[in-house]
Amino acid sequence: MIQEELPEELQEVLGELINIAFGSATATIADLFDNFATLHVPAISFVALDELDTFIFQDFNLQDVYTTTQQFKGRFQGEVVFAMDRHSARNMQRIIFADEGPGSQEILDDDELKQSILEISNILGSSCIGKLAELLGTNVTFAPPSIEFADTLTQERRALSYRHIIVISTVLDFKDMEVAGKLFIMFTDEMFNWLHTALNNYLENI
Amino acid sequence: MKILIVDDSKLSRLTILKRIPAAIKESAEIFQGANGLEAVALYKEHRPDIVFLDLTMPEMDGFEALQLIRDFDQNSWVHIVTADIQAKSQEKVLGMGAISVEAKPIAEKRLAEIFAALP
Repeated sequence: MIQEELPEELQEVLGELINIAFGSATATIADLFDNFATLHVPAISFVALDELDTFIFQDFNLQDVYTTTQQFKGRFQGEVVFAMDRHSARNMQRIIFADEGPGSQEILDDDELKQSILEISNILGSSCIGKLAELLGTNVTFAPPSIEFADTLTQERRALSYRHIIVISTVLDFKDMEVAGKLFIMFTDEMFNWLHTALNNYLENI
Repeated sequence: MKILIVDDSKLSRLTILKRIPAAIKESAEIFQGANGLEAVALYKEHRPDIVFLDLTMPEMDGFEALQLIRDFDQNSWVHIVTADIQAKSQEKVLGMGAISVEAKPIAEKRLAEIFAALP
């Protein structure tokens, strides 16, 4: 796991690069919807696949959590998963439709809510991973995101050999409402080795 | 010259520190803080010629620190170096009197331009 296998100074570099990448992703969303989000320092954790459920469900109820997944490919590849609860999802939808006139903020149905979640997680995940890759001197491409049931997430990821997971816990603190979510970046041992080298290079070339 | 660098990330402070033009660094006094409270205290104590200030920090954020520094000294020369690149954040700090907003990580060339433009 990253916490044991990555030297502390490289964990600090990774944490700061994620902070920059997540700031960039939040700005993309806030600017897109002509809103303003107070940025908070995101809490970053490193967990093993077996601990993923605990991390998702310690803050969310199984019935209420929406998870979206999106694979990214390139020199650095893996999967990004975004989890948010129904309350935050509805807040996000209100922000998206805020400019569309009276009544537009009414929630129509669950399908529409899921579309909003997909849209936001796509922007957030791809902006964050894209910026992180750029800072590490490479680029990535993205598969379309999809919504998955949280209770099967861990089970299905075992087959993909994701052993390393970075968890970014954050609150998108918009003017009148909060959107709390967790972003999980998952990758294999091979990608961990690439990341280790890339972080070393970054530190040496500051 | 006195330079104040304020960021809760050690790496971000180091990035700025290492990228300051060598000729300036040789003769400069450089002070570092890790949050807005330290920024204000260090500013009042040392009256730096230039400040590099992050926005997202614990204890006191950069918005509040900038306001307090500007209240204390209307001639302060503060550059914001931040991951918060929202258009509205930029408008806000520029309206408060910051000289510029720089996205992290700041490039060596840009830092040279900033020092060259110092009054």
